[in-house]
Amino acid sequence: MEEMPEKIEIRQKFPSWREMLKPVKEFEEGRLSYLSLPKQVDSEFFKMPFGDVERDFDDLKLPENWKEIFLEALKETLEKNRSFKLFMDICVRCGACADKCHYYIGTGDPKNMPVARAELIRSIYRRYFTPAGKLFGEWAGARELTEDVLKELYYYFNQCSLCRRCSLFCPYGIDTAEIVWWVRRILSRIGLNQRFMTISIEASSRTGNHLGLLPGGMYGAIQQGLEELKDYTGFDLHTYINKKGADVLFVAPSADYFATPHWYVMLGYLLLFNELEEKYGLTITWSTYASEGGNFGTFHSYEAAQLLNSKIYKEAERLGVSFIIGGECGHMWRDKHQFINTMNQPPKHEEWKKFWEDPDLGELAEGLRGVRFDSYASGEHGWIHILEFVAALLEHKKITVDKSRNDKWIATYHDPCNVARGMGLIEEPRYVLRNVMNHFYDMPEHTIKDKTYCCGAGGGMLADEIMDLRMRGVMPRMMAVRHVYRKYGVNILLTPCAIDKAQFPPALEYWKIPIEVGGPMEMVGNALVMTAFGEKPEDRQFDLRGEPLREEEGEEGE
Amino acid sequence: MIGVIFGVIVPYIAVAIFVVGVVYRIVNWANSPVPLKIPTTGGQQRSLPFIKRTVYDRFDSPYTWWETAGRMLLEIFLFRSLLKNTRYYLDRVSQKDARWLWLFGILFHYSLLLVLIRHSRFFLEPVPSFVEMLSEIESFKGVFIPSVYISGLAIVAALFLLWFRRIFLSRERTLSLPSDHFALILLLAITISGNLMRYFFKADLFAVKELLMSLMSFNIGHAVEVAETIEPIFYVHFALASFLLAYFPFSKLMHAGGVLFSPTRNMPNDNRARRHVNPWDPADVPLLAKGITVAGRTYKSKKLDWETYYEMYTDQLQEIEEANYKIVPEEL
Amino acid sequence: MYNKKYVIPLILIFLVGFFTPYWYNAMAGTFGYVPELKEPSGECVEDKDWMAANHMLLLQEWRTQAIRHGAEGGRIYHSFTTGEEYHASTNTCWSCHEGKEEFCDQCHDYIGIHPECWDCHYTPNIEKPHYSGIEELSKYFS
Repeated sequence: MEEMPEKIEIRQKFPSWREMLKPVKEFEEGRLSYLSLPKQVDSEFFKMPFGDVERDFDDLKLPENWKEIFLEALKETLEKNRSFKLFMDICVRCGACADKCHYYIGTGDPKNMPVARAELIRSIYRRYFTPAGKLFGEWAGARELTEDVLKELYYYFNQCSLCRRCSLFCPYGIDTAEIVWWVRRILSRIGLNQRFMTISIEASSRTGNHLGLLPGGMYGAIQQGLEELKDYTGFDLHTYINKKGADVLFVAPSADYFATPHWYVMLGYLLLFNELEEKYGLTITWSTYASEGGNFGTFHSYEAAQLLNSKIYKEAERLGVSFIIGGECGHMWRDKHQFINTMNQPPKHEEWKKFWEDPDLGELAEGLRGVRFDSYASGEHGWIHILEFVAALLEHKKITVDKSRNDKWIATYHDPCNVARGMGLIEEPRYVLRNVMNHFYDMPEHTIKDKTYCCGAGGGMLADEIMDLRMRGVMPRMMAVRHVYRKYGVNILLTPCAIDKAQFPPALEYWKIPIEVGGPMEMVGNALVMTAFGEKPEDRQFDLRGEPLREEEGEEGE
Repeated sequence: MIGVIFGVIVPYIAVAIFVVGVVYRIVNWANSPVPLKIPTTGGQQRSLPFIKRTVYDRFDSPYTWWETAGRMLLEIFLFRSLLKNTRYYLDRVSQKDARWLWLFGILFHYSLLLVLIRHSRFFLEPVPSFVEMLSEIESFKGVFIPSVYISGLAIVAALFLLWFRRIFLSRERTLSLPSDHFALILLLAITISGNLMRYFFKADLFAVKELLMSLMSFNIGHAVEVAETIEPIFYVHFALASFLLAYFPFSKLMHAGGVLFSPTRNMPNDNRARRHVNPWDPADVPLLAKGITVAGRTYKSKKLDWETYYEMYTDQLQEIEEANYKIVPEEL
Repeated sequence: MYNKKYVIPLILIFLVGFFTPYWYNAMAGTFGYVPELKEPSGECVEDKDWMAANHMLLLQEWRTQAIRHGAEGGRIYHSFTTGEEYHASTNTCWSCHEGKEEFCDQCHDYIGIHPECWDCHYTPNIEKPHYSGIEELSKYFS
């Protein structure tokens, strides 16, 4: 984090349309992501075309016939994906999307407007695939594909966090995330991959999770969590891993095993699982094989996404679980909600089929009868978000919570973009938060729910080398946080997204907003009364951060 | 001669290009599959029964076919996405609702609709009474002879407003390609010439309808005869409109048809209830594990299935087995 | 082609919509119909084709002459076509054209417009209201 930009100046530029068609030659320090190394894209488990060459941005070392490969890949994309083809054709450049992009707001770079970003590839599409572009060239907004253009494509298509905010405001629903996703796929066909995301993809394809944790490491991490919980609560807790015959498979983003503040969320999960098992006999297992909920492949290409998410249904089948609960993560839920069951065959084993015939938790644990998920989920998918799960438990009064334990926190909630705009999980987290804490305030209406601003680090943009871009991209979100911080004295920013939790602490520090970051499940863990272990509401002395629950110190954060 | 070229030959060609072009574009889009179900959810998903969904949520995050159809209809007829538009003010680091674009868009498109309906008088015989009634309703009477059609003026005003956006707003000026200006100028030329013809430079409308009726019934001999008698101002309007028809399928104006195809709008957010099948991926083995071929070389990633995984990390997995798949805090 | 279920109806709707005049006119039995106009006897004040397009401009001019200059004897119209002088009055029109229905309406109905001229103005087809002066009024107010 040492590369924090000292000062941010937003210089807006408005070049002419001809200027816009010319590739940029200067690439800002702190916005250009590194290219992948052979060890990431020429690995045994993740082999990308032309990945065996070590590339430098000044010398791309492109394959000889890169132009044909690029155009061939573009043609294939047009034929394989209606949305891409349609979005190439129907944009009217009304400009509704332009100031919706947090990167555009933060950088002022005209090519960071979603429409201009799409125009970068659209101009090539026009030149090679439309009669007007072939005939009129520049005047039809078309341009030749050159190496400079290629560099520009790489530069700008790796300055998008796939948050889809522009898509929401577009009168035709043109989804820049979709365009960016498929262009990154085309770029990967000539050997240009972004290093940050391929590091994680490669690790996940080799070990099952982005951090490259081996089974023993994951085991140890969860074990340490249980030890910490013993210190805080005094109870001997346990959990399962790789256990065949468990009722539920739990899949969390791998950052939860290590990083802070993800860790507190992890403790929250463990408390909840223990309470449910002790009280109702619902067994929930982790898995080392399906140890990653997140999917950096969704930033890279269809194929990479499929490679990573193909493990989970297989694991569910192997363990014989009835359904899957997913943890707090943003893009994970775009993948798990919209992609996974198209990219893979859903499980077909007995327990799964039997449960989804009548998806009442009472079938698994008698005490939970009445908690059902069939109003929106089926055996063709089988994933439940942990916050939906908790919301259902709270509604049916299956768990006991003590709101006052969270009294030292004044919280606001950040909707992760993919969860809000790729899934529609908007009210459940708020329902949970209102039930587990007394002080909860939303940020201004234009910056939350479906209109939520991205944290500026999604879509593979969490790389350290693009810190300037990240700090600029997070600006609109930070201004909204600052608003509630000043108005309500908010002291914690809750978000159910692993990338947010990694991005916000440095961002809050940079934008000088002295508040903490956490996840809703941490608040649930704090408030959860472990009745099955004989706990009384007033018994708990420490919160999941190991700080005393009822003292007023630390109110202002650090 | 002008009459024959612009009154007979050009319109036939233009209509042919328009019809074939539009059908071609639609079929062309439909020929590409939709690999994933990717609706942009603008509201609360259908969820647990106690999580309330407002009527807005139903349309912004549709679950059923009807809700999706409702979303599409509202999108097409009310431009709902544009209605949500905001503007970011960098100096105040905040944003406000900004609905000007929506207003100009609505003004233009509905005026266009009214204008087109009014123009059907030249094609339909007898003229339907609702067309006559519509003209009656929207005309300002007594201020000018002939009475002034609001839609005819509003469409010019809306086009100018839309064009001024592109000229005077810096962001929009940067974005606009020549084709964007061209489309607006073309439409302006058509609407202005139409208005001029109505109010100042008169043309014989009886002959115009006679021409169109003859063209439609392929009575070319008669059409040529009539075409020669019509005033030139009509051909300015008519030739430009013909050009617009021919230009339509190959330009951004095809957004009229494209909006119906947009996968982020026309798909329900019911991914977890109904599986979407990708036509080009059987979804059995990951495509990368099957191998992708680029420039004649196949790149195949090794698939990490459970057996491979177990082989790679046998020791650690066996330790977990020995612990009976249970994690307990270590005794200190 | 994918999504045939929706795309084919869409194409059909487009075609049916675009070719509305064909099926509409065919149903009304007026395919390619052009009404025969009865030529009135006599010469028109201006060229026939010019009148077809511009008669409203002429009437407007006559109206101005009548309102502004009528008392000064200004209601004389010099024809550009024949050079003859005419009385700038609709009565000049009605002297050849038999009436609204036989003449005006033929074209106006064909292209579906309803000029509001006859909301006030006299045409030969309408029986003139009989008005017998102040005595008439006293019938109602006595």
